Amino acid sequence: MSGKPVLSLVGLRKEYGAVVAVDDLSFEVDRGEVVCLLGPSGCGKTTTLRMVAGFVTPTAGDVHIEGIPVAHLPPYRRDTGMVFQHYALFPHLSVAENVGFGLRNLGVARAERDGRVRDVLGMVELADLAHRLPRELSGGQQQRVALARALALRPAVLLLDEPLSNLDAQLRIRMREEVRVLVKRLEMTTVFVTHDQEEALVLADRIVVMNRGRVEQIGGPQEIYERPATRFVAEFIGLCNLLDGTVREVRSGELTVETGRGLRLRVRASGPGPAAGQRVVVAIRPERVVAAPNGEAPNRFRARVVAGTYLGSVSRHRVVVEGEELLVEGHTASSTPLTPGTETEIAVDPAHVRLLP
Amino acid sequence: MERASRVAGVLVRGSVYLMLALPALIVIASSVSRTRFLTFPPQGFTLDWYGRAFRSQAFMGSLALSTELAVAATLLALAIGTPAAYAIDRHRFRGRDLFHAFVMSPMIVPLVVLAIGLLQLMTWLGFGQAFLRLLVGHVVITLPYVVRTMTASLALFDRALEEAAMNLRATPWQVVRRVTLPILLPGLLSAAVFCFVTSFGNITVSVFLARGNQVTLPVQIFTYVEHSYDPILAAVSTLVIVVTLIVIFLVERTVGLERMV
Repeated sequence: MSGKPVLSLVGLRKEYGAVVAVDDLSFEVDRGEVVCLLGPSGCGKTTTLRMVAGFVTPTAGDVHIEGIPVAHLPPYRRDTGMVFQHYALFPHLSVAENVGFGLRNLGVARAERDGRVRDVLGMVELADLAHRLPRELSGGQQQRVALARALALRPAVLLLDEPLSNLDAQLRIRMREEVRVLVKRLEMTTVFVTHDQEEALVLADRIVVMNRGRVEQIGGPQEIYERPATRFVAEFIGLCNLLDGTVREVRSGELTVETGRGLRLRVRASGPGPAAGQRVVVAIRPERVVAAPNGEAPNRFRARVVAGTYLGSVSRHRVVVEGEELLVEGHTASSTPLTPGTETEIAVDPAHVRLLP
Repeated sequence: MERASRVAGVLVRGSVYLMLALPALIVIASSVSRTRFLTFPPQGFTLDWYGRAFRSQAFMGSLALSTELAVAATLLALAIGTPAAYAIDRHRFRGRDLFHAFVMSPMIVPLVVLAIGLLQLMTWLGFGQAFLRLLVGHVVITLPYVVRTMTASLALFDRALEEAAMNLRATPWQVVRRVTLPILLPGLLSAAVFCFVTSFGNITVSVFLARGNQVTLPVQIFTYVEHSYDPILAAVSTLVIVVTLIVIFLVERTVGLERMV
């Protein structure tokens, strides 16, 4: 099945006057893989998607779909199916006509068209609403019609441009599960644009984190979260304690870093790390800071609890350790409760301290 | 209190409708009067004036001319105005604002001034054929309605729909035929109604551009009034109202008036 990638972006670049919207972007998407383009607004993720669909002409580079270079082809000659942010359902056509629109353009005979429209509508559980007009549907239903319409042509690549951003929180969570299940069942090669990190973590096999038109990191959800490559990635995805520091000591398998205010942290070294004297950024996820640990631990400090936030399943506290402020997050059910104004012990496993350039 | 304001509302709306409809109702009523001059309320009842109107070469000729002219001017104004509105909406070219102001100007320039200008232009160009002269004049005065209606329709048009169509393998021609035009249709029909009614009822420009016995219906009525004042006028005017209502009815059947705005 796999082997050659279904979609490759080769040195893709887009300039708008003096502004570089997308800067030398390259990555590949394998058959059946779901890739998320994740980044803040203006990072170039939508421009990238639109270059794949053919609505934006790249300044340089090319897009290959099934090995064929398509940068010079108009949108209607490219094998993509797109779900638009505001769905862009044809208001004058019924649900069935919307879904059958592409098949009609390709001259698929009536009987086959009807059958395929029925199948796709069944897939998104909208068979009963086939004769409704888009304006008679709820937001979630419109979203499914848009998805069905894009899937009806069985495109090589499914493109989704923030398709869940117009739904309310509850529905968004349900729809992203549904989308994931559906594209996985159809083994649909998918590129998904979002600014919602949680959406990316849930939906994607691989995440392309973008910032100012450039790729910050490409990796699986766990890799992106646990081992962010840059300060931007660490900050953009989840919460992260970031401290500026200097490498003081390098021993086999372990480093010691001293932060600006003098907090000395031991860090598990992985591969060739920074040399002594080098300036680094220390990244620690709040849930990796353990409050009131049992027994001996390498990075164990006394901390003063400054403030706390109760978030239901988890609680988040701000603590001060040797002048450095840290966020501590623990499951409300299993971790020791902290009280602002009191002191506590905290510990950080050296394996969970990341050093960023 | 609530009841009082509801009654007041009904009264206000009722009198507005009455004032709008009254001239037409008076004309229709007068057209059946047995008197030899126009009068309201009508005295007696006869359809004789309609018979006379239908037999009148002058009135029937100009009714035909007015109808043909209004249809032709509407089609031409749509054919020119729609692409113009499209260019104004979609492209940022040099002199775009000037161009926009220019096509809208017949709405602002007094029609008399426009008519004199057109008359002189046509004399200078040697445009002798009456229908052609009237057609050019009527296209000029109806064009702003098309441009105004269509720029409004296009501004509301979601461009993502065209992208979605292209993504679904529609060629540019298929996009226009299956998405752009059907969605703009209410706007086009509404522009068509404005054009038809404007052209069909125009006097100022027609008076200047008409030639010989080739006169439009409003001009014919206007000149007729100068020497006689019989109910045949009311009968002919009723025909004008009927033609206008037929046009509006046909459009209403196609798209529905509420969608025309």
